[in-house]
Amino acid sequence: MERKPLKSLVKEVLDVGGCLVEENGDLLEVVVTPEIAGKLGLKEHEILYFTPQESRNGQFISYSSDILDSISELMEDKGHFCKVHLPRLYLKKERLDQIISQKLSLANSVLRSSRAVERTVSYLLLNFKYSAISEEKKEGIITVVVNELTLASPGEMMSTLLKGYYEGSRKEWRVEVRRPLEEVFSAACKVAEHEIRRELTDFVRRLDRRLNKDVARIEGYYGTLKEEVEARIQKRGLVGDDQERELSRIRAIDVELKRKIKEQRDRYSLRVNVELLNAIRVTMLASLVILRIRRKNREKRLELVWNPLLKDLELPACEGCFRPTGIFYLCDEELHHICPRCHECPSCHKAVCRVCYPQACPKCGGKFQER
Amino acid sequence: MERHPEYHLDISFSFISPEAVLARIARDEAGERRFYDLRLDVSHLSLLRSLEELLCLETLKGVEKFWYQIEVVKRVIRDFRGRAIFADEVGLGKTIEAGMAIKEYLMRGMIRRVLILAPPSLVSQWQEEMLSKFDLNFVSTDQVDPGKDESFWERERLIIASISLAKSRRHFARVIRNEYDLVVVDEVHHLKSRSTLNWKLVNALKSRFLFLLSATPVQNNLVELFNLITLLKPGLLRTESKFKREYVKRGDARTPANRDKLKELVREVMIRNTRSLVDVKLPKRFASTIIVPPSEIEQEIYQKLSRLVRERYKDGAGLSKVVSNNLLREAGSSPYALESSLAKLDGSLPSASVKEILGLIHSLNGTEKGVRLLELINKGKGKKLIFVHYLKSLEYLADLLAQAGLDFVEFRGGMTAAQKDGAIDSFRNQVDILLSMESGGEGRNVQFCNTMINYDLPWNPMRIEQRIGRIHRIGQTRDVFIFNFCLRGSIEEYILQVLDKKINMFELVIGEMDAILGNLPREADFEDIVMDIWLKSQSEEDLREGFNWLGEEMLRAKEGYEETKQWDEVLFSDDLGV
Repeated sequence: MERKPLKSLVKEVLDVGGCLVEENGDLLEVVVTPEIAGKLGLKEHEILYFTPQESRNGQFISYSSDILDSISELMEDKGHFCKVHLPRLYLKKERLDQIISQKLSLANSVLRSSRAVERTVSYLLLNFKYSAISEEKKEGIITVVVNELTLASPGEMMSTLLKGYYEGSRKEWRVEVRRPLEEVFSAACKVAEHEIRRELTDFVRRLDRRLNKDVARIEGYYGTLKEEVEARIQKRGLVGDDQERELSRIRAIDVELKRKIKEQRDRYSLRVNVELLNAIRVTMLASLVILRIRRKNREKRLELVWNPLLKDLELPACEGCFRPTGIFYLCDEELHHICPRCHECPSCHKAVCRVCYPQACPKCGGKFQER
Repeated sequence: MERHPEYHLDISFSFISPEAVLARIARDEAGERRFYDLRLDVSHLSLLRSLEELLCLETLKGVEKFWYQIEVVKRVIRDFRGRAIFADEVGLGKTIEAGMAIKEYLMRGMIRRVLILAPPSLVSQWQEEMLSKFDLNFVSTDQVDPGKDESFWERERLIIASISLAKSRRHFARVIRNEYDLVVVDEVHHLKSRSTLNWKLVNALKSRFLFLLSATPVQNNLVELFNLITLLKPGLLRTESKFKREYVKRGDARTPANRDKLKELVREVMIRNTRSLVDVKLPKRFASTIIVPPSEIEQEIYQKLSRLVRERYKDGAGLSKVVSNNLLREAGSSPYALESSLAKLDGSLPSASVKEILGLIHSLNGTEKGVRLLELINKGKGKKLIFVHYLKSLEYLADLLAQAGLDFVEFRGGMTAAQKDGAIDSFRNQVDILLSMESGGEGRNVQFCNTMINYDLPWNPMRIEQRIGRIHRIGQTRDVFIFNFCLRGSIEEYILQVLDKKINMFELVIGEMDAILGNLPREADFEDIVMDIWLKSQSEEDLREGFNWLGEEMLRAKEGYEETKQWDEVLFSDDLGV
């Protein structure tokens, strides 16, 4: 997203906060209420300038200025949620079967039928701010998009949406069906987690490297201590109780080493706090494709959307990890549609549904890690 | 000792969902769109303030940004407060890092006056990169003669100066009289001794921020490190004698006495990434030299021109070194490149000789290098980037390729940015040959190609490196093949013997050549040395001797560089990376 110049941003926020702001070339002339003046550390009538060469009366504002710490308070509760509706776009209704067969691969089921209907569908675009805290800290903002009907996450949509390809209409558009917000939000959190993990790849690699280096140093240190004790046993030819005393020292060193390694791992463990900043609901007319899929005499209804903005079929979200998947399995228990990763135990490699069994494999007992 | 298993971080997530947001979504209670955008902008503001986000990234042009480079910029600004040694291993992009940091400071309104000091041979490269990649219009001492322009040092806000010029008696006092917000010094291993004018100049400069750049910051002894750090943070290592007592092993000026403590201190001012540390791998380079026997006419042209240039230069009869140099380089490229310059010099050169050479050129029916080029192109499939320096040579090759029925696109100076982009696009998607002049794709990504042909050869090794750098850079995944054409008996053949056979230049990593040239004892440019040898040689024997001497000097410089590199690797290991 293109960054707004600092001056425009400050002007807009002050405006929203109820201040009187006048732009005068490179300057902003501001009249604020005593309350806001106190909050921002400004005079009630203030001149703000944004380029360092100007040495005139007033306050120079840069990205380092303290005023920016408190400026967000002027937003109060504004900007948490808004809606837009996309203008009517071309809807594909024919030859959808062909697209389905190209994009989807049903691994253990068969497609019985498909039909398409026109529907108004809605998407939630959610902005999350994350703070990843370990030995050092990294912060960022990510945006995820979730189809409120199918829970699909067509991330590609965002580049078009962020370009402003929509009308800011405030008309009420009836969205006929959408899932409960809890379900949508829960899917969004999963998608956000994947996205954040992806963004943190280099950060995590760097910390991993440091962790391993520190562990190697500690192991080196305790290894030397053990070698010294072993050498003492050899050199003095210790046997019996004397030898046992030294051997118990080695065991103590091992225990201490384990404790130190755990300490290091705790020290480096990464806690990621994610906070929802705001959201936008996007509605548009789309082709809703309803599939009937059969597995061992049981049938599942799966809804997908042909997205007119992407001009493509949205891949269904795996019910286990909520990542888009072109290949999916239906589980025997509940007919959950899951991606290959969520259909296999990483330990015994047997088929297992990780929606039905989120914690551990029912076949080998192996615990599942976060995916 | 038994190797421990690799540990991975334990990662946990916790989500906070403010009721204020969720309740509104649930009730479908929407506010204005502009407020939504503004809240997002304000949230980004906090990231920008804490340098979690950089402003400059969106503004860079044709720069492939790597995570470690972004981290370096953040650390330099946030943790080092703008005073740091950028000591990444060669080829990782120190100039890009410094450029990004300069741009970031400028965009944040934290600096206005910037002075970049570079060795004379790198001034134009810095200027070109700052403009093409960062859109920063620096004025350089290559463009303006500050000796003639009285107010130059005071007036200009963004200056790139040759450090040799800046430290000269004429300019020293005027350079240091000004206050700068940021000073960048490239190749700071030239600042290793406090008795040098280089060191004294940088020490005398008044600047809030200071970037020192070098892949090999220390070369001979640890006191050099003391000298550099003292420029950045006077007192950090206390006095030289205390530094020596505490950190240098007695009787061995290269070995630290208190390695861990020294590293801790160095960590406060230096960043050094290595390829292994940041997981960057560069593919190999393979070079072939194609020495083409000239046709009789070509040989006659070259010999006659050579003789003429030598005689006129020796007589001091109106042929400057620059003109002589240009004529010989044109002749090395193609006789067609020579034709127009020679015709223009008809007055200053004996008319009969000029006419004779021009007559020979007119009687030519193509060139032997051209024939061999077609053979090479027809031998293998795949994209090929052909470099040529002179427009006339490019036009000749364009005719040649067209006559041979080969599809190609041209990339030359004078084309608009859109035409250049179009040429690169069509090279990427449609045709296999890009015929390019020197400016070939500077700042444009042509890494989809891994074969480069130097139809002619610049005499300046840095120019050759720039050509190679178009395809052999971080992000290139395949091995790179370089073919160098030269005529037998030409200056280029001798140059290739030095650069290819003697020091294996074509197999070095980008950036290393620069370090090697910096180790040459003479301050003169490689190109000037080559020209001197050629002009002063009376026989083939003289030439061989002269170039043998140059080869030995280059070899010594390379060995010196490698020794320094190894020592720096041991000294700093992988502990100073981001």
